Amino acid sequence: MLILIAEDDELILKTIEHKLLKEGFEVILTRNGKDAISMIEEKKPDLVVTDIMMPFASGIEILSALQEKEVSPYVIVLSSMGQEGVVLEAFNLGASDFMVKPFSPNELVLRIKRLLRIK
Amino acid sequence: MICAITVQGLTYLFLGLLTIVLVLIILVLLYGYRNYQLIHNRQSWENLIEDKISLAILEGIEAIRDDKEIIKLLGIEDFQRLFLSILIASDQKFSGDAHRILVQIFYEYKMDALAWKKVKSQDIFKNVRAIQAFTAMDVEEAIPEILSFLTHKDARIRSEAQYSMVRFKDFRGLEFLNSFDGIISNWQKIRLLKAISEVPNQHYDQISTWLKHSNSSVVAFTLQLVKKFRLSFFYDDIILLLNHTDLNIRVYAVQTLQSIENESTLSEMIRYYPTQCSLVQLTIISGIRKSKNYDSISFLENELINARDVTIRVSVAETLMSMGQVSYLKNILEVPTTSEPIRQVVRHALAVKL
Repeated sequence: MLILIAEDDELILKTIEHKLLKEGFEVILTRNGKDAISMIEEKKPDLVVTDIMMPFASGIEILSALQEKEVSPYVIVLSSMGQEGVVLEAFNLGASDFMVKPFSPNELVLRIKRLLRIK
Repeated sequence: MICAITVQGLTYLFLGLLTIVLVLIILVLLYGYRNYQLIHNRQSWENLIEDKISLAILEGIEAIRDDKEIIKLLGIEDFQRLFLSILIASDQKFSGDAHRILVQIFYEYKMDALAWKKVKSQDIFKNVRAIQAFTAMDVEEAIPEILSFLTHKDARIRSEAQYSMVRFKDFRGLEFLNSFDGIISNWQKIRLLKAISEVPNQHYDQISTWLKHSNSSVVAFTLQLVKKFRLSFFYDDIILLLNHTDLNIRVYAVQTLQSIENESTLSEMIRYYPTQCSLVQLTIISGIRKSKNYDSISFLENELINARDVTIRVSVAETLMSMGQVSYLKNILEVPTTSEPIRQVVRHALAVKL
């Protein structure tokens, strides 16, 4: 199973990467929204974990782009912005789940496994 | 002879200036090289610290216990500062087991001792850092020390101490509002509100008191607290704030009432509307647009024709449009006696995609 992580915070990126690799997932890393959109089109991951605030394109713009391109991996949005408006917008654009920072990496893995139906 | 002395003098002067310039160039190069080293060091230290934290979160504190690399670098003050900064920043990134690991790292590498040293310093930035460290790492022993900072003369220290108290004590940490005579910045409001997880109803008397506080900043914050937790219990207290002397309070009061609205909210908004200034009126109209309360239609139609402020007319027209009153708006254009300013507003509303 291939998971793409779009996150510009190095510590969060490394931690999620190491956690997912340990769980046996293949992982692609991107640090900005524009690269994330290209990589999703190219590599067709099963699931995307994306931050909202990123350089060049936000997590919301990634979701919009996925809708336009009719590419549909599961998407978990990970953000420090937990306002109702942001959450609703993400779900309206097709997000499968939303987690607010500070977040638990263990919980993130559980949610990924739930979405990918892995026990 | 005089010529020779002059030429010699000029030569010495030139050589002297050249020497000064060369010394300055060397100093600038040395300064630049030191800065480059600091930046380079900082980047490699950041990578190292993040790798170690990430490894500890994955494998447990044992994976980095007594790490020789870190122990050696902790002898360097710059590295110590950076390590503490990254730990503090990580508090906003991770929760649960990962956060517990961060706290273990904090004690393992004696960052607590560094924080205690900083809190006793006379340097304001060091005090702020210490409060942030104690807050992020849940050092409850530091609470008495942080409490004493609530009345510090420096606003930055007071602000950190306030946030810290709310982090430690949740709603009860807001006690400082009772006697607070300063300003709560928008940023501070946001982070205080984010840090409060619940409002226990045995503290409702306090909220009532804060809504009547002489400090508008406290009233404004309390309104946002009521709005966040939708505390309809305070509905009547907030209605009274529609007469507050501070315009911002009246705006916040309207927004808060709209978040805890009941069947009488619309009629009360309409009742207070005529005595309010444009900004408050616009806020009321904006709230009607969000709630799409069709009992407001006749009020809006009246305002479209009679409002003197063009921004209010525009807002009303857009609200009518968003509530599906297209036929009404088109009919207005067909009435020969409709004034040109109103026609323009209606055409704008019909053209805008809402």
